[in-house]
Amino acid sequence: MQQTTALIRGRDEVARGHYRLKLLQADVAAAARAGQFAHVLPRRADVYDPMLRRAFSILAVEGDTFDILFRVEGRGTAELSRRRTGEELDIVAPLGRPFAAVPQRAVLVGGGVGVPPLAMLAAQTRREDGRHRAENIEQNTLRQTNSSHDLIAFVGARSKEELLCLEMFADLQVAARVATDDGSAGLHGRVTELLEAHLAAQAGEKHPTIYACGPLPMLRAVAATCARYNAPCQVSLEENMPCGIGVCNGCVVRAAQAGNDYELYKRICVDGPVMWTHELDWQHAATTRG
Amino acid sequence: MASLTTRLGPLRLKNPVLTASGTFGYGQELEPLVDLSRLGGVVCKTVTRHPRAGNAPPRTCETAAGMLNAIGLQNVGIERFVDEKLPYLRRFDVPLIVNVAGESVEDFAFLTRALSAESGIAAIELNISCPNVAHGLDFATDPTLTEEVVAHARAATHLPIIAKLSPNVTDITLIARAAEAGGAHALSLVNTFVGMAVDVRTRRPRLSNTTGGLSGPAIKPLALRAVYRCARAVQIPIIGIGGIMNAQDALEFLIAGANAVQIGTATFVQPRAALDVISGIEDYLEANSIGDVTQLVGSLVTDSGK
Repeated sequence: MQQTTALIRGRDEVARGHYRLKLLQADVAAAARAGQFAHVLPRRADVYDPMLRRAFSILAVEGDTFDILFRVEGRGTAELSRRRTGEELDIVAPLGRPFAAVPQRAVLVGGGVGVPPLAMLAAQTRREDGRHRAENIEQNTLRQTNSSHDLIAFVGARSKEELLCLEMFADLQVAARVATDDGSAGLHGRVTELLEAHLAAQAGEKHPTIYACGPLPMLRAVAATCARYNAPCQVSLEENMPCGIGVCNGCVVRAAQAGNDYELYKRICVDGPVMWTHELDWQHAATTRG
Repeated sequence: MASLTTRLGPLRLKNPVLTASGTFGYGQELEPLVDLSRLGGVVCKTVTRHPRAGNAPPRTCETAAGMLNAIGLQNVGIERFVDEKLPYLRRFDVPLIVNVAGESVEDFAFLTRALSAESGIAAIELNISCPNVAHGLDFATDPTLTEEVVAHARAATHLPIIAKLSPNVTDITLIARAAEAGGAHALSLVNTFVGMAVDVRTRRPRLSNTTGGLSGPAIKPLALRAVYRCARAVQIPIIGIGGIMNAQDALEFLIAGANAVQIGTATFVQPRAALDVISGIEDYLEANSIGDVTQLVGSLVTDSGK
């Protein structure tokens, strides 16, 4: 974790109101793990409105750069969307607890701007697959079995234009199925219905691990589905995050079991943003974005 | 080099810049980003007699040039503070001021006495002004209670006592005088201003607590006036707090009569904000050939002399 400046190397409007920034910062690119975030100051240093940093999941790392992807939601993201290639951003990164290591079989469930950290997780997992293959070749292993992870992605959005990261999943050879609220692509419905059908079809087998990120109602449904099928599940949470480093106690979520009063709430920025669904009290889970 | 040494009653600081309670955790989280030993002092997150879970989320929301918070004094309680947090904080070459809050005069006296038995604590700051817990504001809105709680805490310790006051009162100088009469060695002012924000889409308050404390640049002029008035009302030193984002802001408080300042919300945005303020004050003193920061305190120039 460090506070530093990152040069904007690229800026794309990947969907209406959705921007992808490529940021040059070698240390962050080298250290970042899927599920971690960058805390970005969206304004000039001497203007105090909007005042706070904004947290964005890291979407990809490539060489000395890393990417973030965001949707313009409020004043901070609107301000950030106006920054151009060649400008510098003040960032604190990488922050937060990343996704746990992916077992042999995993399902990625993303909704809206919750998809990017899952694309990062897919890329990170495929890089591991590549390393294992290289090692096997080096050791002249004759085993021809495919040891690559079995990954599938369910991607949801309001409509076809807002489906994110589908090209990335295709490049990574991760099968992606989509659902849209308006039926303009894939299933006319919720991404959680795809997950439900997938788990139902596999009843009896050992369940894959589920990794999910998206709006709170979606995560609540994912958690309930996974609990029903007894499938382990990690979610990445979002909340107003003034400091991002664990000092303000602002971005909390209620824990499932509190041994003591002071452990009733977990800080999303440092205890998360990735948490196991069984760590949380879904009855009381409420965030600003939910 | 200009001298930045500052005295708050019996407390001697290497510079007049401290961190504000609730914005610096227990130091641990910021250690990777900030050289704590350069700070004038660290005021740690409020400690209470018993552990507190804090309020339900959402606890914060950003407003124009500021933010509202209603954390609700989430903390591990005095026992675990002493066992787990204090040993860590003690390692740094920086005066440690422990902020305490209670629900009664007895609570404040108990906490003050308990902490006085521990080594490595430079002073106690009494948080008699938290707007986000039941009865949090009872003390700092009543001069009689303010004097009583300060006097009891003072009697319970050999350490310097700092009273942190609320701006949510009709006349803050009355409370400042009461704290002085109770024996406070210094005053911290101000705590946050009670405010609220509404989500018009849902018509719900943006904070689960409905109201919260406003901090950040939005409150700076209001805080500055409170410091200015209190500096003329009492003899004891004042620590100015409220929306200080940079050295310029800090200098305004010193000139208006504060002997020192605390950096709060700015740390959320810039973890090194307090260190930047220190070097900025140094630069200002050099540029204006002022040899000692204490010469700046209360040096406000007015035509009317008011």
